Amino acid sequence: MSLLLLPDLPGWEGLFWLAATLALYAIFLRLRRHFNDSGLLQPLLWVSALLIAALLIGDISLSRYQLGGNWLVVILGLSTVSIGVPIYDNLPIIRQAAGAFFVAMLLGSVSAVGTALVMAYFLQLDTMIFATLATKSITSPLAFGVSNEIGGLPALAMGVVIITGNFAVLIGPKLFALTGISDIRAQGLAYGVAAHGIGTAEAMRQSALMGSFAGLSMGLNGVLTSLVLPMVFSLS
Amino acid sequence: MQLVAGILLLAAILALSEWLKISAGWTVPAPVLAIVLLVIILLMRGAVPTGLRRVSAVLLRHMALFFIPALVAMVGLLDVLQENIWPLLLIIIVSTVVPLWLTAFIFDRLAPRLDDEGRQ
Repeated sequence: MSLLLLPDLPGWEGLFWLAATLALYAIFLRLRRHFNDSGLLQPLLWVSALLIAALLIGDISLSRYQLGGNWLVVILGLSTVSIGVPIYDNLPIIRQAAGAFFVAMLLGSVSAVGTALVMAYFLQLDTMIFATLATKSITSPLAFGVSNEIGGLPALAMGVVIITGNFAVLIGPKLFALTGISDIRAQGLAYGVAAHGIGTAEAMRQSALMGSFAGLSMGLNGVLTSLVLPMVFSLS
Repeated sequence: MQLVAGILLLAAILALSEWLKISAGWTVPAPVLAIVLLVIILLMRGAVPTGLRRVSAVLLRHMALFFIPALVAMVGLLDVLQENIWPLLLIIIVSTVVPLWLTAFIFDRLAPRLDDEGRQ
C-alpha cells in the first residue's frame, strides 16, 4: 500500500513487455527496409503474432502484457488526433477532388458492409455474428460501441476489424499494381474505407498526402456508418 | 517547450472530445471528433505550430507501433474466432478486396488527375 497513492506502475513485467514490443518493432522496421519495403513484412502483424505466441507458450495472461502495453494505447489516442495535421496541410488538394471523394467513399462503404452481410446471410451464420460483421469497416474503438448497440459481439467486432485492416494492408500494394491504380489519393481513400486505422497508419507511412486521404475517409466513413447502422438494425 | 505545447494541444483536444461525446451522448467516437476539432483550430489559426508539427510527425510515422497492444489483445478472442474461422475468413477476404478496389477505382475514374509533384 503506497502512502503516496501513486497509480499502478508497470513493474518489471510491464516494462519487460513494453521493451519487448519496442525491440521487436525496431527489428521488423529494419528487416522491412533491408528487404526493400516488402509488403509482407508488416511490423504490426509479425510483432503481434510473435507476442501472442510468447503469451500462449509461456501461459502468461493478457493483463500481464497490458501492464506495459497500455502505455502505447494512450499514445495511440494522441497519434489518432494528429491525423488532423496532414488533413489540414492537404485540404486544398482534398477540396479539388471533393465530389469524387464522397462518391467513392459512399459506394466503397456500402460495398464493404454489403458484401459482408450478403455472405454472412448465405453462409447462414447466426444473428450475433451477422450484426458483428456489419461493423467491420469502422475504426476499432467505434466498432466496439456500435456492435454493442446493434446486438453484436464487441470483442469479436474488434478482432474482425483488426484482421480486416491487416489483410487490406498486406494485399493493397499488389491489388493496386494489378489493377493499375497508381493515384496515391485513390489508394489512401481506399485504405481509409476498407482498412480503417491500420490502413491509415500504413498510408501515413507511405506519404502524408496518401495518409491525409486515408484519415479523412476513415473518419467520415466511421461517422456515417455509426449513425446509419443502428437505424438500419432497429428497422429490421 | 514547443514539444510540450504540441503534446498538450493533442491531449487537450482529445479530452475535450471525450467530454463532448459523453455529455452529448453521441455515437461518434471521440478520436474522430478530435480530428475534426484539430482541423478547425488549425484553420482558424492559419498555420501548424512548430511543436505540434514535430510531435505529430513522430506519432504518425510510428502509428503501427501503437496498434500492437490492440492486436495482442486478440489472444483472448482465439476461441470465438476458431469456432467460425472458415466462414469468417472467407467473408473478410471478399469484403476487404471488393471495397479496397472499388473505392480506389471510382475515385481514380472521377477525380481530376495529379501530376508528378502531387499537384492537379
